[in-house]
Amino acid sequence: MTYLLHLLMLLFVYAMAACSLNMIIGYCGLLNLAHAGYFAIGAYTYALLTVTLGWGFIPATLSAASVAAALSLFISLPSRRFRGDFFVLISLAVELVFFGLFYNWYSDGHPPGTLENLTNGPFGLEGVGRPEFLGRGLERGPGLVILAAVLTSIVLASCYFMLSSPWGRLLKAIRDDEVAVRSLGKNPDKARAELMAIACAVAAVSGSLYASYLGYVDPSLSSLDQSMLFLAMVLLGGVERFWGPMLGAAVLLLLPEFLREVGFSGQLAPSIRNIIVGVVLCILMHSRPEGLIGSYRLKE
Amino acid sequence: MSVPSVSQSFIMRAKKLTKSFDGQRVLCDLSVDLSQGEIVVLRGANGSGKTTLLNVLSGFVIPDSGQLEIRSNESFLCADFGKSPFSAASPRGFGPEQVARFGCGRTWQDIRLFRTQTVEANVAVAGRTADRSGLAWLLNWRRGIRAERRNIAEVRDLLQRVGLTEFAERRGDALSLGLSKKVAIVRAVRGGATLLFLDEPISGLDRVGAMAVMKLLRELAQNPALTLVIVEHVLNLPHLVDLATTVWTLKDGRVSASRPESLEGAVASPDGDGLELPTFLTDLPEVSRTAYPGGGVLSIRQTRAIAGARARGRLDVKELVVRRGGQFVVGSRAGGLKLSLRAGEIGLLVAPNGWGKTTLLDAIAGLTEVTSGSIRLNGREMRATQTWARAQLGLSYLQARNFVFPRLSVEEQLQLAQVHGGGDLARSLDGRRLANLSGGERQRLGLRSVLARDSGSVVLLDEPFSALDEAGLELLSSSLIQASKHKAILVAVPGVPEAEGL
Repeated sequence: MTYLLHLLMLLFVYAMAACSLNMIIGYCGLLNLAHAGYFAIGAYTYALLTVTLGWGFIPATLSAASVAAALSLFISLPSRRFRGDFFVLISLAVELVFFGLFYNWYSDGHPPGTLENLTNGPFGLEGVGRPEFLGRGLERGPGLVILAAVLTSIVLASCYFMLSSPWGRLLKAIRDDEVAVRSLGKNPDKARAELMAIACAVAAVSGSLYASYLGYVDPSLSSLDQSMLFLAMVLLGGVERFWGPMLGAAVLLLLPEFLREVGFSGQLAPSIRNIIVGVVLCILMHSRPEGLIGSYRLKE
Repeated sequence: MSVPSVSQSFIMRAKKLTKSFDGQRVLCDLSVDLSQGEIVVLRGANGSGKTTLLNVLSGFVIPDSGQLEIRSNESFLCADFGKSPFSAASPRGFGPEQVARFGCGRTWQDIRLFRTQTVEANVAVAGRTADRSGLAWLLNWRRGIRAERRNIAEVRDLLQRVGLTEFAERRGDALSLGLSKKVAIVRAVRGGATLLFLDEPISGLDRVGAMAVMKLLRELAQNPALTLVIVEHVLNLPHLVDLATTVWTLKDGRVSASRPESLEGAVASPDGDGLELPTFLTDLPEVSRTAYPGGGVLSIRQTRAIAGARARGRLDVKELVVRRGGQFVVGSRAGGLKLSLRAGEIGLLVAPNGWGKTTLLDAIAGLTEVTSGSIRLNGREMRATQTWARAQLGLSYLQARNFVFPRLSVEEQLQLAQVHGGGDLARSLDGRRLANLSGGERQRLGLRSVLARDSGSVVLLDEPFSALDEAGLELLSSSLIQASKHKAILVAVPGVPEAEGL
């Protein structure tokens, strides 16, 4: 039962992160490799605010989302000029900067959370605050999973509503032909920057949820592997289609469990999963580039 | 931005605009006035700067110097160019978005519909509801939904008025050329344009498509609040004579305005709503004619006596079928497409938009997958041969679009095409990069690249007459006739065969 709740919790976290990445890929047509960075920004901001300042779940999560939204300028400003491969390289650079900061903002002899030792480097931050409900902390269990389900539903429903609005239609138009959009008096840079801010904020919320669940954060949250995992979820499930990344997240989370069921050891299963995902992605990109239930092909 | 001296007589005024590319001056102290309700036909030779002028007036290209004033109701947008120490910098507050908000819309030669969206969404996105941000939508969704319902209702009404209702749910990339051009115009109108720049709105269309767009233009022209500036291909100018109130002739970087009557002597009068084919082609003796299902006709014209079956350059297509998603694009259930061409012959394939002309040429060139049938080049089966190998074996193909390499110079393009001695064209364009050539100049260069290629024996031309002026057509006439003496040439043009006199 506990393990099932653990899987459900991870599913909510990853579904939110993958959906937010899908907003950038599917609605801007930009392949973003920095998404794990924003996920980690959310996790670290939440961790620092709860550990050092003792903030509660809601203010810490909202602050994490705000910080990520502000830092989304690192990818939204270059997107005004750079597309395709160049944007991928820029997002990779942003990803490496974030990872470098989380990994190296460390100074021996200073307590974690201070200016000298903000992230505690490779050792990460421990004792991250758990959410509270009616004055009682929600420990690992059904309470936390229900909170995650509610939070994920609210966030994703809000995103769905926004993307179904004329604003979402404008974003798809910008993706298809930015020049034509400009000739209609619309400002594509503003719409894209707003979308990226929202997507990064959602990634940060999922990062906060993850940090509150594990009670510990470290730089591996912002690793390139993590970005590639989010990307694989989006590509596998389907680009642009709102529910696609959730399907991708479910498949990639449950695949190791399935592998364990069929006899692979717990250590081997994640590696086998990576091999299977690599092969499946190669086949998918060749025969169905829009993903399992996706509708938009990148660089079609 | 600044407020100019108030004058009510114009909606757009350009003063002393200059623009150069690579040191080549395209616009030179150009000054024009546009009044409300004017229908202007803009004409000029290839490379005269027609599209550049449209780009400047719609804010997409920043001129080197000069002034531009736009009036909308009682407000003005005024930009003074060339004052910035950075020559390419746009004056603050001036760009295509700002110009569009002052009521200036435009369409492009290459249409630029939002390909993944439906016709209804293409038009609806131009409405004001899209101006609200996503968060604003979330915070005030009741108001947003009401506004969007109104927007969609107005869009449906607009689509019904222009006869596009039945295509409302069709995706942008699934429309015929004629419908696409129509949707692009409707979209610009929906965007609030009171001054509309139309770049070749009927070019490349068959008779049916051209009639539909002309009907729409006539309806728009009846609106006294709407001003139109139309750039059109020389062969289509006759259709615009009765519509125009003013003719702008762009020459040596300057515009001279005249009455539309001045066009009548310069261009042949239209025969119905059919589009014209160059007479040098239709005057050639016809040796055979094949009618295909769907309204396409292949008329083979001979430019010299064929020297027997051993003539160099031969294309044989037998039972060719190309299917896409279960639909026949080339060929039909009854059988595949057949055609045969020899050196000394020009095959003129006239067919309506959407018939499959480009797919047929792409299939012959190996750019699209063939379902069944045979393609032989100089007697050799090509089905399993790659495109590059077909080119090495003597096949040259000039596509309707995207046939130049923008980063190359003119000389490099000709070298790549294995053309030795570029002639007058290469001399006149010497040193320029292809990105900086006009549409007509690119077309002439593309034609030169395939027709004068030393090793070519079969040439495929997809809509070669588009974007050419009188001089370009004359040049094409002589080089086509000259090349056909040694090559087999297949020319695909849009049209309804009966209307073209075939």
